[in-house]
Amino acid sequence: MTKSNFKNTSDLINYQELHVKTGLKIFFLEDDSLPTIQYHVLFPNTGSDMDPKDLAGLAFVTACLSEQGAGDFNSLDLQKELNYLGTALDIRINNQNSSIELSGLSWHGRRLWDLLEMILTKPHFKQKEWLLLQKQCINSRLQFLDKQQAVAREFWKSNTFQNKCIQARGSLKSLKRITLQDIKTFYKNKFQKGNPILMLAGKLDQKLKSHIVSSFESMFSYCDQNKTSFAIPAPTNQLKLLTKKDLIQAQIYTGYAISPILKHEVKKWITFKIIMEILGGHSMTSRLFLNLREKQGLTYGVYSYMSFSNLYAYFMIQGATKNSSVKLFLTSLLSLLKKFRDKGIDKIELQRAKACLKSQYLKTIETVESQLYYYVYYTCYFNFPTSMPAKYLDILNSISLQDVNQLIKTSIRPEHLQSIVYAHPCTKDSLKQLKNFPKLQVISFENHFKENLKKS
Amino acid sequence: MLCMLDSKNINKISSYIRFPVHKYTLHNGLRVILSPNKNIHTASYLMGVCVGSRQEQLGITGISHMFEHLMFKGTKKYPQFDKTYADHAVTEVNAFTSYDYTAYHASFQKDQLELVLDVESNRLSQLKLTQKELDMERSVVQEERLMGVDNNPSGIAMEKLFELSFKKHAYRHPIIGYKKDIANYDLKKLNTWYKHYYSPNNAVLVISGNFSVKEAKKHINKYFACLKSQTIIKKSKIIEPEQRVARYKSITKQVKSPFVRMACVCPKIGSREAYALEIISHILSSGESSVLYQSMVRESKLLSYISTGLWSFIDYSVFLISYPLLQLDQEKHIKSLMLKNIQKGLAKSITKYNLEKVKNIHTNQLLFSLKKDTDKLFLLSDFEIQLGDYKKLYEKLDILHGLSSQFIKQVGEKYLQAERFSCITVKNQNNKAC
Repeated sequence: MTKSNFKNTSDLINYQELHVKTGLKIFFLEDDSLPTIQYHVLFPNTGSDMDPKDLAGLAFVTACLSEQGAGDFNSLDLQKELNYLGTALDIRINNQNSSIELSGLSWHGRRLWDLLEMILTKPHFKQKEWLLLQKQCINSRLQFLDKQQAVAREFWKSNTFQNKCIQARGSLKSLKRITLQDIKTFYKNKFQKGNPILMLAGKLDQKLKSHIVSSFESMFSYCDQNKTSFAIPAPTNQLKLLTKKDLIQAQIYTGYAISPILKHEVKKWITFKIIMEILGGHSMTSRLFLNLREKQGLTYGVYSYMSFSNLYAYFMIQGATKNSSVKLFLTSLLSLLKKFRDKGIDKIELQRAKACLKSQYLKTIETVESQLYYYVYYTCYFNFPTSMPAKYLDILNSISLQDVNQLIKTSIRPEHLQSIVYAHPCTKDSLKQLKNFPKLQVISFENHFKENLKKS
Repeated sequence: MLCMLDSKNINKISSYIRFPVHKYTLHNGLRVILSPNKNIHTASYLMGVCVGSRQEQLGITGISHMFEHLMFKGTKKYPQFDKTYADHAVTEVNAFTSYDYTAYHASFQKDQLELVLDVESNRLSQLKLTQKELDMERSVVQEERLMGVDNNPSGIAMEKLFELSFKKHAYRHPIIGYKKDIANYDLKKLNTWYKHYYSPNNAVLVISGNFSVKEAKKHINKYFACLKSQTIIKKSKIIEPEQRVARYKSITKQVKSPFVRMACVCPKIGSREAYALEIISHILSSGESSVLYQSMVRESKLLSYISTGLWSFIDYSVFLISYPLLQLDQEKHIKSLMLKNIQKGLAKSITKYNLEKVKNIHTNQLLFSLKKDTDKLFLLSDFEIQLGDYKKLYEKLDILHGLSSQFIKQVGEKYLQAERFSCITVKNQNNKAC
């Protein structure tokens, strides 16, 4: 039976899970079709939510600095080793997790592992390297501030969550504040005690697997972690205009905070995915696309998202339009959301969304790397049951029209939108005319960010 | 000892790259490439039409891209084909326009193969455009241009860089087109474009993934064999005169992070020189142990990062260099030092060690790009359309790794000279460093 002829969706996911003596987990997914190997180390609950107050970006810089010299290698020698193997570390941070990924050719598997082990357990953390990394992060931040969509998104999140958990890669102020001691402390308290999960995908031989298991056992131990909590901000109905004089197009972000998904709410989570696909997914038949782009030509792209972590979640719509169309864009959007909430969806839309999500799921599990990541991500990120990935399609199929419309009624709240527009000041007058938002606050980009870098 | 790509491993790689492919050409000129894979659950298709901004001129810049948008407006048989596709689980429906070609692609389940082929053959031959659709879609393209270019310092920089680098060739025009041209498209121009370029003998159909080759051939014959080929306008290649003097332009924008983009026009995709420049690019800037990272970031501390790359097209390639410019008063010095370090790198760093490193990089990149079906789809179409034969994919590693260090150095020394570069600097209004 080929992989594609699956009778049960549980046939689709075929990994091996191992609990090592220290209480940590390793996941293997073997695939001989290509001579490649990937190591992926996920540190749950070690993302930017763990950054201390005023030290935004600490998790990120700690992860980045770990590859600037480790074990017997100084920074240059370590980079030479990695680069010679045709690879580089891929470090990712979101609000909840950090992860480090290293991939390469399978005959380099042992060498890659040895380097990764060194980076994870014996980083040098030298001042000289930190100063260079700091400079690079500051420059990245400056580049970030030139990206309209990124700035708008950050501004929206900081307003929705009242300045919490926003800048995963740090602000100019926080990056200048972080010291090497902060990094070492964070590494010791968060990464070393972070209960990492190791995922191995690709062409693995038994000898290498055994070696990795035994070395992983000696690298980290299981540690009890304090649970953090987060109060969901109260809903508002606010519109803020962030202005910058040279902007020819407006970025619009609107939405609100919602309760996170709990581990027994798999069906609800998938139902939310259906709702988002219909409202503003990436297909050309989404409500937002058909109305704001196809029917009115107001935008090149407008999308809706729900993003969940185990601490908080949000619903968001994002789009861009020329400055003169901002009022019409927002008015149309509000009207569409109200209709969506009041009238719900029909059978055809549900069928289409299910087909799309099924196709996305099958694409997600197309490679062993993404299959493994998908499995670990959802079981460790949301603490979903381990059977979930295999049952995803069955659950998707079981969701009824009533389930979806009921959830739309309770979760789509156009009266509670926290909205921001990042545009030229000329949009102020038209936005003031919007009846739906009682008070318009106007802030200039320079005043809000106040991140003037003094010459170093 | 670090592992090297020995001949045993090179042979192994060769066998992985040669995945099953069936190619044939219909009597009307449509090239068909089928790459089955029963080990995955979905299939994908790509219809590539050999027209891009390369065929355009002032007055109709961006017309290929505009047309790409209009191809989603439906035909008589499938007036709302996007909904048809959505109803039959054809997903990830999308398209792109490049300098060299325009591509339409999507993913589907194997039992929708016939539908997909019917719709695509219909789009290729029976598209009916209306003024209303044109006007609406023009607004969308104008918004897209705002987002990607006019409101985006990086986008403006690239548009101006290509204008500066190419004085005659159509690669100087932006793919999305100039504002004035976008505003002036009319149905007559668009229908003429469709008639002249959207023809089976100017197209390549690629299908990969889980589908039946027998069924595919049957349906392709049913829906595409009846399409008539057109006489394709073949413009003679515009020869870009060799650049002998460095070119420079400064753009003023309110940016927190001023930056520089440089470009040098080089030989076309698939040429030995282009492959040599690809190798040079990796040696110069791939990874933190690379020549320019070490000299410009670590040693001189003038930059926080630097990147290079080769964009290759049918007629020419472009060697690109990008870096941020935090010390505006050092602009000239940084550029001069960087060019000197490139020459130094060419003289001293085209070594066996570095060539082995680049072999590993290329091998990694190629193997990982074969993992996902859609990546394979794009690889096959790129090689078939831009190089004329998908089989050149198999030869790429051999050609790259067979180039001598002497040849690579000679190519670098010939093309990466200061006078051959065009340079755009984007800095803020008051000329102050942030």
